[in-house]
Amino acid sequence: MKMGKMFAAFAAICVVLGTAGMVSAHQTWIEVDAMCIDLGDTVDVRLTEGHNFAGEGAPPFDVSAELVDPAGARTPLTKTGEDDLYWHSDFDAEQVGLYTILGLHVDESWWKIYTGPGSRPGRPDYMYTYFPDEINWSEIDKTNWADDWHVVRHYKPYKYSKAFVSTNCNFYGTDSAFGQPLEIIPLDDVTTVGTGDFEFQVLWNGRPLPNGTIKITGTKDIGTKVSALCDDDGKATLPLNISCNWLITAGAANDSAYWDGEYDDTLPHGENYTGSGGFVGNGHSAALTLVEIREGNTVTMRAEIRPGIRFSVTPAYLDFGELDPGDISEPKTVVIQNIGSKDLKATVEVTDTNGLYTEGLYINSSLWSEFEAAVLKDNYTSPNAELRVPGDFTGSGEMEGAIIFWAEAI
Amino acid sequence: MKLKTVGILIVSLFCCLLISVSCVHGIGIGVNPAKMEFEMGAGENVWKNITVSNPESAELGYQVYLENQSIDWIKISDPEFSLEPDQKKQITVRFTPTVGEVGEFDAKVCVVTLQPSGGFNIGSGVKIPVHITIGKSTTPFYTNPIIIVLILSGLIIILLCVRRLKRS
Repeated sequence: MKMGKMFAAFAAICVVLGTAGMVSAHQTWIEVDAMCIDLGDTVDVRLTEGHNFAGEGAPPFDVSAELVDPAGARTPLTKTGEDDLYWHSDFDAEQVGLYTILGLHVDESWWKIYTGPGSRPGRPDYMYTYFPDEINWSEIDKTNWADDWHVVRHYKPYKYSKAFVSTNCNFYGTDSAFGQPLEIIPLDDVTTVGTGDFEFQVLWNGRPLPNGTIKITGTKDIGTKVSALCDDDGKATLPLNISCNWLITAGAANDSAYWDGEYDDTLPHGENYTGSGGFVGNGHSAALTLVEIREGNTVTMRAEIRPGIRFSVTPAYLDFGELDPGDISEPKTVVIQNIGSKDLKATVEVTDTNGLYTEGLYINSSLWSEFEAAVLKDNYTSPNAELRVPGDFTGSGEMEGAIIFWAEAI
Repeated sequence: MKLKTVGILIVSLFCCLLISVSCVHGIGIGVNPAKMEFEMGAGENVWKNITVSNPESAELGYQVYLENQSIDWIKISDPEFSLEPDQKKQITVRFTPTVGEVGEFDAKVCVVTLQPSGGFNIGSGVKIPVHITIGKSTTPFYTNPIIIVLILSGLIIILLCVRRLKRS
């Protein structure tokens, strides 16, 4: 008896809990801050569950996410934290192109039971009651239930979510399937979302389900929703006429449209119920988050103007080796590369304290002071430098000096 | 013996690494603008900016100076600085010719980086030709404070003279 009271209390709590969220089933979706991101950005990936595109909490039970990078490589996204609203992960966008984030939330099993009008306190017009997981049918309080109560569905929810980000704001490839069992594929350009009709395709294991099986819904908020049924090709068009973030969701169009399971006539029911049995199996739903391409994140125009003069001299070190008076060193090739936006005139200036370099440095077989070369932009010149040690040179040891390659615009 | 061989190998590798490090990067410089040409009035102040950038993958030191050091009315704001790889810096060149400096002037602003590599230093530099046309002061005479003071003094003297004449 004591156990019975406890179960009744538990059932009551479940009913209350169920009441809170049964206008529509919990949806799980991915949130990202922007679809256009900069190369090298760390993308914060958040999964949340709620209703009408309003998050209510981190999804419970099994949650996982996977990243498909621009090269097509798949890597699991590690959970980095959880708070009242989100399951968190992130990744560094180091490649140019489209990243696809795929989420999976496997919730606990639920019962959906037709209990008739007035069966739920506070919601006299709602005819269904939800219970999580196992139910002790003999112990449950059915006082307010209709005498034709029956199980509509006993299902394990699988919730697939998807979102896109791109490091070059190019979303080529979003109209491909990424292998989610139930997947929403945007067939139109995702950067145009919010500007009018937008066509989607929903596939189950890569194939469309029969006409009318899937209902697809675009949600801006609780007051702004548009829905359509997918046809035999899994396609449907939603009038997404408002420029904003849209959550696109898809799932069974009605209680008789569930496909991954079977209808069971042996399920318990009220004494006056004569209909068919409820559905027992898995419930699959999908969500696609389309973030509005705002002006702030569409500014992908970027230009770096090359400085008027920019050049590089290699190598950065000239070693003529060990030489005697009268010796001529091996020629050393110096590359002067013009990487600026203007053509250059290159000259050389040599300084020293003992005359070794000023008198003995030859470039292209001429004394350094005669060297002058035009280096066109995006081009280079590679003169040879050699040191001719004067025969009467009296110094010894490491000789100090400097060579500067000067450039001037022409 | 084996230990000695390993030691030689490690030292050789270290030397190779040092040599390759010293050779991997060149010595480069980026400067904008490539030339300057402008007009100004004698006695005026004009500031022009020059952007210096380091295109190399190593930190480099830069010096900015005027080729003709005798021109003392051209000043460089930051004549010596270092830049990290791909870093850039804006420096200001201030032109303040005196009232007597009128005519055409040519100068060159030199920006240079030197790689100290022991005995023989190697460097790269850019010379920015500067052509300045200095006209007579474009400041209207009536805005010159000295002229204003002189005019006011003259007016006061005239007024005083007129009063004296009236009294007499």
